[in-house]
Amino acid sequence: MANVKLSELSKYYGKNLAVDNISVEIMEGEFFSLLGPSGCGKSTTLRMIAGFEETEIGSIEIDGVDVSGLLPEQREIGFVFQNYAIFPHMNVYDNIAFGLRLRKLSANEIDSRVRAALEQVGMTGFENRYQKEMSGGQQQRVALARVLVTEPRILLLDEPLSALDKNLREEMKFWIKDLQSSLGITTIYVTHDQGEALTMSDRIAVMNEGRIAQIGTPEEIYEHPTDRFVTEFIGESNILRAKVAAVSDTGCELDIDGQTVSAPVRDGILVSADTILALRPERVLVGEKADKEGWNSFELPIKKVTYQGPFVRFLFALGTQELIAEVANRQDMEKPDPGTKAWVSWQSDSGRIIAE
Amino acid sequence: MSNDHLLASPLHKLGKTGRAWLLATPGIVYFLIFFAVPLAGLFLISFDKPTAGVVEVQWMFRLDNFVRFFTRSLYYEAAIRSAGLAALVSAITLFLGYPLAYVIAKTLNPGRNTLLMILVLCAMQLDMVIRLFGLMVLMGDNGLINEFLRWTGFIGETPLPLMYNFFGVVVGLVQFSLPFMVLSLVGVIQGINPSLEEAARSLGARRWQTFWKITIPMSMPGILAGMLLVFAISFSSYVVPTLMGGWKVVVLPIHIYQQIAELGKWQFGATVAVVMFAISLLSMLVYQRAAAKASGGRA
Repeated sequence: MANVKLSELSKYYGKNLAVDNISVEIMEGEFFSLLGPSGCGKSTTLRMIAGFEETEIGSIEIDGVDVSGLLPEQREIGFVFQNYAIFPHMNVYDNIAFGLRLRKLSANEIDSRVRAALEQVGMTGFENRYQKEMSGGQQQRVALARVLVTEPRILLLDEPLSALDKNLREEMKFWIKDLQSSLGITTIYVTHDQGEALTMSDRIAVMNEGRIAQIGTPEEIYEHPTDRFVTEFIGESNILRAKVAAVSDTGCELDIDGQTVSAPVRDGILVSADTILALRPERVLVGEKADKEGWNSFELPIKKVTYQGPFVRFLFALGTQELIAEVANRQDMEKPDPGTKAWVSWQSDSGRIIAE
Repeated sequence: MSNDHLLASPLHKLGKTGRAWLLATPGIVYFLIFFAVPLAGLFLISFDKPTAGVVEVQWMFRLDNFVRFFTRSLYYEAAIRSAGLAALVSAITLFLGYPLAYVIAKTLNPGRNTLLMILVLCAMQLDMVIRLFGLMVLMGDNGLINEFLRWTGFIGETPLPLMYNFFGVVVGLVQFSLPFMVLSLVGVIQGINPSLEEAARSLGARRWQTFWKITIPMSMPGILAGMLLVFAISFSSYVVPTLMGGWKVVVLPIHIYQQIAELGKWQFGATVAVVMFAISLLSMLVYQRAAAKASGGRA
């Protein structure tokens, strides 16, 4: 078990800056995700930690020791690939024994550890299978067993679920998380899927264009995104153009196309400046007038109603802009028709003013 | 839209596989007339009564020719020499070709990759006889190598025997077959997923361990195909042993030529050819087995 510290890490490919000055410390036993769109530098960062990409600028420390100069085989890191990278010319047993044989352990020791690893991932009985004879999920388990059996100091997972179909992905998500917590192994998980990151992680670093946009717990990332990229990348948000009408210590008033809306205050905003209000669609209530302190409540015309299974999506006209509300699909819910008006309400502090 | 015109066409009645067979027909006919029939003829006359000057089938079945082949050391030793030469050449070509193919395969820059491929293919653009004359200029008794060694004083008047011997034949065959080996290997090496090698490294394997335990086994289909191809080329080569061996390295194709062109003994020439064909089939069988084993028991 180990902690990992990245300091001012950068990576150029030719003139392209793939990783731009990343600094972060990952705690012992932590499940840490690097989340971002493709090309944001998350996989490159992970591959640098593993030693597959050279570290030229900045440093990588594991337990306080700089490993930037070490070869991959010297780092004692377990890496699980997106395509699992099961050796196709070896059966499952030999795949898992690969790392142990390199360590020159006795045959008995290897045998008992391989069997324990197979049991740990629920693959006992698959010893003689080859890669072609296994499903994606089974290969995934073998890939995990193959790295865990060598008792790595940290576990790196590069989009390990993206090749699986949806139901299996859901199942593996919880399975991997449970395995990780029971082992207490420091884990860095790369994904573009916010659902995976939010479900599994202790902390998430949201990455964009080589930089870390925000680091926080899943709740912090979702509830308090600090910039527009994170706001739009994580979950869905209404992005409403507004003008600041009044500012006080406790909150501020915004003018959104003539509609006055109260919102939490943010450092450095000035009266009559243009700004943006971000608001999660699921925080907007429909059909209820909330005449309370700290709430916004208006009657707005409905443009569109879309049935989406677990929830219903309403599109309201808010001046020249649109406001989306998502309402849980309760049996007793009212479904006002498009063209009519309905009350929409949200708690003022669920909106956030974000920097452009 | 109506498909009636299609339904009515006679081609439609053939069905999908039928139409595919129809397309393959010219190739099949060509193969039958110009390969299968002559080969069957060879088979027939190899079991015929040896009669000098007679080409046509006499329908006098006997094993005389085969008995002669396997009882005279002149012939069965030539068979061993031919197979040994071909095996040696395929091994040398592999050792020279693998690193070359590896470099080409791992060159990611598309322009540089194409350039390297062109360099390899360049070697195949000239006729073999012309290339062998080039080798003679280099390796003959008064060739560039011997002249250079004489000039530098490494040797006296007696030249190094580089040609008209086994060594010369090997050099000629390796030169001829190297591009085939490289071509067989490049695609296979390129197809090895880099994450397999990275996975091995991360599990603790050094560079050379990764190479031996992952890269080489994963290249096995290309290695075996290349070796089989080079074996077949070298085993059946007539021109190279003739020009580079100066009739001193007597391999089976030379016997065939002598029996048929010089002695008019078509029946015995055919017998040598049938033995060669059998050895080639055997080597393919060995290849098939080895390939099956290399790819984890399922080829």
